[in-house]
Amino acid sequence: MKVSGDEDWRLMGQDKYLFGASFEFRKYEPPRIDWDHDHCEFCLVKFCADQGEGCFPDGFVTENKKHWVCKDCYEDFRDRFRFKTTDSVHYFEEKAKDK
Amino acid sequence: MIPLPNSVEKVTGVAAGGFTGRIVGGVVDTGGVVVGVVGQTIIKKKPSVPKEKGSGNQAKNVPNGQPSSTPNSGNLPKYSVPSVPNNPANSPGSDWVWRGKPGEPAGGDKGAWFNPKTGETLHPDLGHGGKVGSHWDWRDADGNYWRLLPGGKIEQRGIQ
Repeated sequence: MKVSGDEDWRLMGQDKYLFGASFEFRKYEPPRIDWDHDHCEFCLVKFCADQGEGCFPDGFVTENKKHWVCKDCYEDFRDRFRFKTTDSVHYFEEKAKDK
Repeated sequence: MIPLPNSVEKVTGVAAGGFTGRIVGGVVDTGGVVVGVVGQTIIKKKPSVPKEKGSGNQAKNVPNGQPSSTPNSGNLPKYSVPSVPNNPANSPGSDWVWRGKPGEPAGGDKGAWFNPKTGETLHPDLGHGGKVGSHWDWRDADGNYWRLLPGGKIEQRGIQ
């Protein structure tokens, strides 16, 4: 079980709107044509549709598609924030292969 | 189209101050010159005209992170927009602290200014390329994202 400490720099009040949130693992899709990227809610890395340099092509997104979290931060904070994961079989299959 | 009073001149394009304006509930205060934003159109009030009771500039005294008196029309912020510093290494205000990756400089792209009192964040993305270009990402007190662009333009994530 991974629980990040209170001193973690990535913690910036996300519990207000992400505690207990449900996530799906998805390829990044911008919410509209002229919105080309989003950031991880915690570490602020980018998710981009064009998969440019430094951009992540996929990650965990809330069911309302408003909030994106990268794989590392998802793993780091899933217990602390009691994240629920739905429809992400693909991610966990890939993760199991990596082990 | 919202009719403009006689005391207001319509300006489309760049508002004074670039990133330095303070935008409150759709109204930008650039230090004496009040500029309003209706959708993506910027309206600028002539400085010589006295303030009218009930005009949009009432909202400029709303503290950061507090709901403004201007109702959220869907693409206007419900909360007062923080003042964006000219230098990203400088704090946007006394309540803001830098939260960034250890070893990375304050004001860089691997961190954000955070207001613990309101839960807001301001992330400088000043090196972003493409059509979007240099901007700040503002997460308001409800966790909604806004893009603050040069010239005082504001875009809400998910609303065109």
